[in-house]
This record gives sequence, structure tokens and C-alpha cells, in this order.
Amino acid sequence: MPRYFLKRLKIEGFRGVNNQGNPLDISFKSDAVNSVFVVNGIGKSSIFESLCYVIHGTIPKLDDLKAHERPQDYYCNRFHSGNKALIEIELEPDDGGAVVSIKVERDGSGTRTISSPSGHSDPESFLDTLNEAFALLDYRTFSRFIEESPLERGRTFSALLGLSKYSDCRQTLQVVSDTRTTNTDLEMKVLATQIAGTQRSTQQSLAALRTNFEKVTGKPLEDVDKLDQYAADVSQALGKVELLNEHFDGKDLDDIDFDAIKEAIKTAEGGEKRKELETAVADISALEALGTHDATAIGQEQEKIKKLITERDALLAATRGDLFEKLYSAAQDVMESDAWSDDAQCPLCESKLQKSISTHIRHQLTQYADTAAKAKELGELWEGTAWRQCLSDHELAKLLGIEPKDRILARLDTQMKSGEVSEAEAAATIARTSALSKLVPDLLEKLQEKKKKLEAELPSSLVQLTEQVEYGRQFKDALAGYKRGQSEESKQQAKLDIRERWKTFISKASSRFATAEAALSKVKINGIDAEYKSMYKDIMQVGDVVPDLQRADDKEDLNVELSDFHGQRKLSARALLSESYRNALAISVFLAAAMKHSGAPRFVVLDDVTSSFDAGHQFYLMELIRIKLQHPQNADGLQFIILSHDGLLEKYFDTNGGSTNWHHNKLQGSPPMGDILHQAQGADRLKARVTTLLSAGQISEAEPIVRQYLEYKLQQIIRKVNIPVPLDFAIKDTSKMVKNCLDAIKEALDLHQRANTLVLDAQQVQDVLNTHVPTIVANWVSHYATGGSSSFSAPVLNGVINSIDALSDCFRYDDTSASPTVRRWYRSLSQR
Amino acid sequence: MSDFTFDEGKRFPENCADFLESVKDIDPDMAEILKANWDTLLAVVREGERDTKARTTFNEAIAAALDDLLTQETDEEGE
Repeated sequence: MPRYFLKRLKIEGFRGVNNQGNPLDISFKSDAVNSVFVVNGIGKSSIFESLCYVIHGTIPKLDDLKAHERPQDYYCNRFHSGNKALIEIELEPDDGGAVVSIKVERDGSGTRTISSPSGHSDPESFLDTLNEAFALLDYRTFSRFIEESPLERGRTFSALLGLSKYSDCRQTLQVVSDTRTTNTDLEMKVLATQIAGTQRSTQQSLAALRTNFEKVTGKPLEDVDKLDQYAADVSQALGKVELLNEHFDGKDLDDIDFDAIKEAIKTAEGGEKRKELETAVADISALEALGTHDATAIGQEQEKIKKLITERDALLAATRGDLFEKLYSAAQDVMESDAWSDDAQCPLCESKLQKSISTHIRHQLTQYADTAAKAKELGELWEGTAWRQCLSDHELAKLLGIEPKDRILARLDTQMKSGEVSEAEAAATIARTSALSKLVPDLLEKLQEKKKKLEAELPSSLVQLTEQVEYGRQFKDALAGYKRGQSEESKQQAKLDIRERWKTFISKASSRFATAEAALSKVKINGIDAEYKSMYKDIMQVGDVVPDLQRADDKEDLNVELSDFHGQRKLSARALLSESYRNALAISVFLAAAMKHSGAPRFVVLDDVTSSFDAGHQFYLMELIRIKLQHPQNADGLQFIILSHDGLLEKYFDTNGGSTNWHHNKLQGSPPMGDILHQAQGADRLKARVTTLLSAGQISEAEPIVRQYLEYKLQQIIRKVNIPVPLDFAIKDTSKMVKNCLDAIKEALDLHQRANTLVLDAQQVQDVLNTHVPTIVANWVSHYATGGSSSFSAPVLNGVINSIDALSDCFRYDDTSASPTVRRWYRSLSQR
Repeated sequence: MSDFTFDEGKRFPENCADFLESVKDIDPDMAEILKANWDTLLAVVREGERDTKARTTFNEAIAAALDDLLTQETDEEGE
């Protein structure tokens, strides 16, 4: 896969760059360090931001704005009449392939459009490949690297090492192996509750099996694993009765039709009393089943539910109602968004706060969350209680005769499940359950008396037969219920077990991934260890302050230590290093990582990264880049593009600018209304533009371009004939640059004239000093620099342009040694 | 305990494939489920930002896959 150098950047209508109809156009070389010098306020940041916008789709500075400041309104240049931004980049593959050009546009409504003039099939994906942490670096990136928390630093570093996807994946696996969220998402508590309910129901069936087995066979049911045997015993016992023989003969209990048997008994002996006895026996069994509910367990459950209600009410009291919950949630959304960044200011009233508002909101929402969790716990507990089952059985029992309208369970279920049940409602339910339970003994006593009376009135053989058949039927029903319960429980338990199996697996997998990620990160850190230490030493020129990056074994934390600090060991880098040393460390780490990276971008753009450095350290950093890091000086090196407004650094750029391994660019202009132009963008274009504007009578629009043209041509003279300038030349008042240049030229001519070394012929000197310079001073400098530009007219400005061209020509001569004759610049004021 | 490591020379998807292969020794069935839902998993945290909806979507898919596996195992036992 090829990597890409940045070959060209064109900008129009973006941030501080207006350049309507005449895009700022900067070319970069892939085999040289590229420097771009721009004085303050001329658009250096706009250049860096344009690349951020192309690659990241956003601008960090605007991301930091609050929503009410409408950051979206500041992407397009505010003076561009089309209200449209255009950025085009050209990228040159390092394998000699075709240049890829990508155009990104943004209109006033914020719509971003990506296209490829060179015909790339998927320009958007191509831009994604350029999105690497090391490609666009500014001072803020470096200063944050040292200041942020070890965890944040570790994650930034992962991105820098090309491991951000590993970091994301590690976090993902941690999230999905978290016990609490997994239990909720996989509904494991619900399953556990279901299992408890099924187990209770199965135990009730087992109790019925024991009772009825004993009543039919006279023997105890001892071993639950032999239920099929016991079923056969029941069939056999009932089959011994002659009247029933044919119904049981050779059949399993499951196949026996007890209704047919009852019909047979009815046919054999007839009579209402026998039927009443049969009903009494069934009713007694039903009432006895109601009595099997475990009063002690139910009592404990009732106490637990009452306690939960009390706890929930206590938590609820600490909250401030639904309306405030909505307010806190909305506030959290605001704080978590990019709309509000000041944690010590209220987003509602904008007053300053003594403590973090995020912490306050989190605390408040935690109270709501705790209350909700308690309410949920209440609902889940109720759902699986024996108490609920007991109340349900009693309310639905026909013998107790509770009318549907008097039943409370359905409403109570709703209250319990939503967690809104009150203490009074719980107390009323306890009383209700107790009252219903108390009805059972009286009814049971009455039914048993009735049964006794019927038994006395009916022939004993028939009584026993009727009872035995009823007990047999109940045994059969209980057996079916028991088997159904066991099957259900088995399915539910299997679902729970397989979820537990997943939890164990994902936890181990997560741990394995984290270990491997940490190891890979360490390998990567070790891979750049020598490089960043060496770079740090090169920049700071110190050998006894040695930084050390330490990756934690079990976390993503990255700690920055000093393994050596003037002989002392393992100390905090943050505590000891000054700002320039910290930045040098961050720059060393980033550049070392960038050099090892194999991502698509093979360029690094550095925006004002030397702000905290003095001239010496700036020099060492630039030399490091020029000699060791830049391609092709270093065969595996990168292309560096250095943006700076630093006057001292510009001297370094100027010195190297003429060499083959350094490409220097200087931008001038009058943003945000006027154009920003590259020196090499051509004085001819500036002149043509002035002529057009002046012809159209647009004098105020032409003025800044006239100024640019003057500055360009005068600095061209200074550069071409090596005219010395004062040390503070670059940092003098920029609005007086034309005068500064003219002064420098006049002083140099005067010096050479006095020394009798001037190479210009007499007419040229005469024209410079007596014609062109006075014309420019009289018609431009005396008005523009003093703010009196309103007196300009189109003919005057055309005259100024002509004068500067004529002035420029005075520093050239006809070289007749060449054929045909060539008009050349003097090498210096004393030499052709 | 496996001594699984990522290969510095491989790209992220290739290392992920190796990782998914390696976790088969923990539980081959579960590893298969993780592999089948890997893309859904990666959406849970992107560029350091957690996505709760993506997490629940992933766990729903896992729950469904676990139930399918259970049914499959039950069917095989029944045959």
C-alpha cells in the first residue's frame, strides 16, 4: 500500500482565507522540508484548520465553542460572497503512482461535499485513511499530552501508535463483560426469579403427590426418583377394585380416564349423596393445598418487601421529583455534548460555581438511578414470592368465593412491578392475605364434617371407592404438574447456565485481549524508546535528563517518568519538567511514533510547535527534522510541513530556503477580506488583479493588493541583490513594511556609493533615488501608512505600480554574454 | 492460560481473526458466537465513545445466539 505526501493545498472562502475567485495555492515538495512563514493575522491557523477540516471533518477550536455561539457559522469566510468554502488537496503516492486530488466543499448550511477531481473512486474512504493521530500536530496536542490523565494519555498514545482500534476493542470487551450490565442485558435476574417460581410450584405438586399416594396406597412416598413406580402402584391399587378393574387393567396412570370411572360408579350405584361426597373430597384436597403455603417463608418475604419499600422511600426523599430528573438528564446531555465546556459554570443561568456541575448532576442522577434500582428490585422480588402465589391461590379458590371485582392481585402486580407500591398498600395486602388464609380452617372443618356425615350415610364400600378414585385423580394431576414443572425448570436453568457460560467466556476473552493489547503497546513503546530519547536529547541538548514512558500492565494508563534527572532516578516528569522540556518530550514521542507508523499519510504538519522554545531549541528541532527525519535524507523518513509565525525561525527558514532539501514559502495578504497570496503565486497575478479592479473603479478593493504587490516586489529586490536589513526588520510594524523596505534599499545604495563599490550604472541610481522612490513615497507611503488612503485614485495607484516595476528593473542588467541577451538581477549591489 | 499475543506485523482485522481463533480454547461454542457477532461488538466503543444502544443490540444478539445453541444442543440430545 502506498503512502502519501502532501503535494498541494488550495483554499478559498474558508475561515480567514477569502481569496474569492483566486484560491490561496501552496505547493509542497516531497523531498524537502517545507516551511510556511506567515506573520500574525495573515491566515496560518486557517491553513492548519483547512487540513483538519479536510481530514477530520471538524476544527478543534470551533468544537470548543458553545452551541449558542453557533460554531457552524464560522467555517466559511464571512466576507466571501458565495458563503462557500473550498479546500482541495493533492497527494502524491510514494510508489510513483498517480497523484490523487480531493476536493472538500462546505456551504453556508454546513453541508460537506467530497469529490475527487483526479477521479478517485471513493474519496471519502481515502480521506479516512489519512486520519492518523500524527499527521496534524499543533502546540495544543503536545501540551495536552503531558497534562492529561495517565488513562487519557494512554489512549492518545494508542492512537499515535496506530493502536486506537485495539484500545476501542479492549474497552468494548470490558463493557460487555461487566457483570452488572450483562446480568441486565441477558435478563439473568428475571430467569432466576422464574426458576424460583417454578421450583415452588413443583414442590406444591410434590406435596400433593405425597398426600394422595399415601391416601390411595396407605404407604409413604419416599423416593421422588421413583415417581413412575409410584404411579404404577396407584394404578395397581385402584385396579384391584372389581368395579374399576376394567378401567385400570394393563394401563399406565397417564392413560386412565378418571371421568369415565366416576361415570361407571355413578351408573353402578347412583345417588346425589355419592356425588356430594366426591365433591367434598375434591374440595377438601383443594383447601388442604391452600394450607401448604409456607407461612414462615411468606412472613419473611413480607418483612423484606416492607424493608425495601422503606429503603426506596428514603432514597426517593433525597430526590426532587420527575421534573427535576428531566432537568438533570437534560443538563447531563448538555455537559456531555460539545455545547458546554466550562464545568465550573451553570449552563442555565451562566453563573460561576464553586464546584464541578458535572459532579453535582452525576450525584443527583445517581440518586434517581438508585431509587429506580430499588423499585426494580422490589418488582422482581414480588414477582417470585411465595406470598404472591399464596394470595393468587386464595383469591382464585372457588371455595373462598372471592368475586373478581374484590380481587386485589392484578392492581397490586402493577404497583409492585412499577415499584410504586406504598407502605400502606403493602400492609393492607398482608392483612388481606392473612384474612383469606384464616377462612380456610373453618371451611375445611365444615367440609370434613360434611364428608363424615356423607360417609356415614353411604355404604362404606362406595365411600371408600369414591374417595380412592378422587385421590387417584389428584395423584395423576399432581404427577403431570410435577413433571411439567421439572421440565420447565430444566429449560429455564439451561438458559441461565448457558448465559453464565457466556459470562465466564467473555470475561476470560476480555482479559486475554487486554493482556495482548498491553503487550503490543509495550512492544510499540519499546520500538520507539531509543528514538524518542535520542530526539529529546537532540532537541534539548541534555544527557542527564532522560524521560521514560511506562505502560501499566493491567490498565491502559501511560505514565511519564524521568528515569534519570541529574543522577536521581524514577521521578515525575510532570512535576519536574518546565514547559519547554515537556513540549520537547511530547514532540519527541509524537515524532518517534510518526516515524514508526505505516499509515497512509507520509506527511506531518507542525503548526507553531516551537512556541515555548527559545531560538537555540528551535534550531535544534529544525536541524533534527532536516538532517534525520525528512525524506529522502532519511530513506524511511516523512515529509514535514512546518507552519510558523516566529520571526526568529523565519531567519532559519530563509537561510535554508535556497537549498535543495528545504522549500520555504512565505504568505502575505490582508485577510479576512482581502486575499492571502503565496510569494510564488506570482506578482503578475497580483498586478493583473489590480489592473482589473482599478479599471472597474473598485479602488478600495485594489488597495490591499497594491500593498501586497509593493511588498512583494521590494522584498524581491532585497532578496535578489542581497540588501542587508536590520535585525528587527521582520517584526517591525507590518503596515509600514513598504517604507521599511525602501529605507533598507536607500541605505544600502548610499553605503555602496560612499564605498565606491556600487555596481548599478549612474542612470539606474539616479532613477531609483530621484524618480521611483520619491514617487512611491509621495503617492503611496505618505498616505497608506498614515491612514490617508481615501485620497487614492485609480491613475495614482496605476502610477505606483508602474514606479515599482521601474524601480525593480533598476536592479537588473542585460547579460550580453548569453545569446540572446538575458535581463538578469545583479548578484549584489557590488557585483554582477 | 494462553500466551496469546498480537502480531505487530499484522493489521487489526488479521489480529482480531487470530484472537477469535485463540479464544476457542476457552470455549469453542462461545468463541463461535463471539466471532459471528464481532462486527456488532466493535460498534460498542468507537473512538473512545461508548454506545449504550450498540451494547444492548450486541447482548440481544448474544442472548438469541445462546438460545439457538441451546435448542440445537437439545435437538442433538433428542436424536
